[in-house]
Amino acid sequence: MSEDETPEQRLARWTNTDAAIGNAAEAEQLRARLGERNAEIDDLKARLAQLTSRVAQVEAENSELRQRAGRMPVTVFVRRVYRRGRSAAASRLPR
Amino acid sequence: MTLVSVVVPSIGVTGEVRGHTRVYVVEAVRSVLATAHVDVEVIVVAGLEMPAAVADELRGLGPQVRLVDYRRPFNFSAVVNLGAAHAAGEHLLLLNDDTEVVTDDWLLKMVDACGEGVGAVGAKLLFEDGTLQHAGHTYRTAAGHVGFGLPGDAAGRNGLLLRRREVAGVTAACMLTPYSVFDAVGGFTETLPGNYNDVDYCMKLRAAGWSIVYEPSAVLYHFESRSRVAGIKPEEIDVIQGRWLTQLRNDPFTPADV
Repeated sequence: MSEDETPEQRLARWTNTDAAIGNAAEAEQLRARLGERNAEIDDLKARLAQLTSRVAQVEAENSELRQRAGRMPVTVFVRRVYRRGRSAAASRLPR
Repeated sequence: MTLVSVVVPSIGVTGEVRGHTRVYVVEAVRSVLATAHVDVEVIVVAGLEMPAAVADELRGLGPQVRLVDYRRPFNFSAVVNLGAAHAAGEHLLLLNDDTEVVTDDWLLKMVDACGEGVGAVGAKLLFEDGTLQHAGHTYRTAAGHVGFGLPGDAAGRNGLLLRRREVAGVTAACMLTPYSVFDAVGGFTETLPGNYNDVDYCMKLRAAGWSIVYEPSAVLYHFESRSRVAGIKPEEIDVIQGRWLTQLRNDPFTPADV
């Protein structure tokens, strides 16, 4: 602040100072928002990677289950149960 | 001794207080001169609408009173800056014209509170009915007044309304600030002509490392209507949030539920 400065000169200087502070503050806000968005993107990417990994794991398990189901032999026990059930049902039919 | 430059924007409005009609600015300046107890100069920044009789009455209050004409469309920040540009004091006291001093040593207390590292000091402001209008600002989802509407002598939680303390900001209706600080941050921003210019000023101070202090023993009436509609424009919100949104989300000085 200069003693020789006129009020008009002070006002002009203040306008410039305020504009500089305002611009710096706006830039800081933009950087802060950018940082927040980047963190959000990183978080979403991490969650997406987790989900992708889980999908692959479940698909692999399903594939294995399908294969085991196809290979499974019909055991003697199952045949007996089936025959017994068929016989019981037949005995209830009207003659 | 410290010289305080009191800057009072006014267009010389008349109103009724306690059943009596008054010219607000005349009574505000009269009460300042009667209670200053420090050297003061009073700079009334007069809008074009100010009646000549009011201007004459102000000049008649004493040699400390000066009028500076403001001839542009209304912009509160520009009015304050114009008054400050004509000031010679070590401190600026920004004062609305619809105020009246309550406590005799108010200005001494405010100057005392304006110590090292302090960028601005605010007073306790009461409505005409004695309820609390202002005890510092608090900023979260919006800018609000701490303790708004409580009895004027309310203590608040842990007595925070009764003790000198750091706050997020204070209103320009009554704000003391060192001239060197005002000068360093470029005064009030004229990009905010009506609302939030004091919020912006306080944010500029805090960003530069100065603190803001509420001084409860400096008490004034502020005859603003309790139901005043601020008339906030979307572009004003854009400006204040564009500059300070991060800081406005977090008030480290006042609990959220006060």
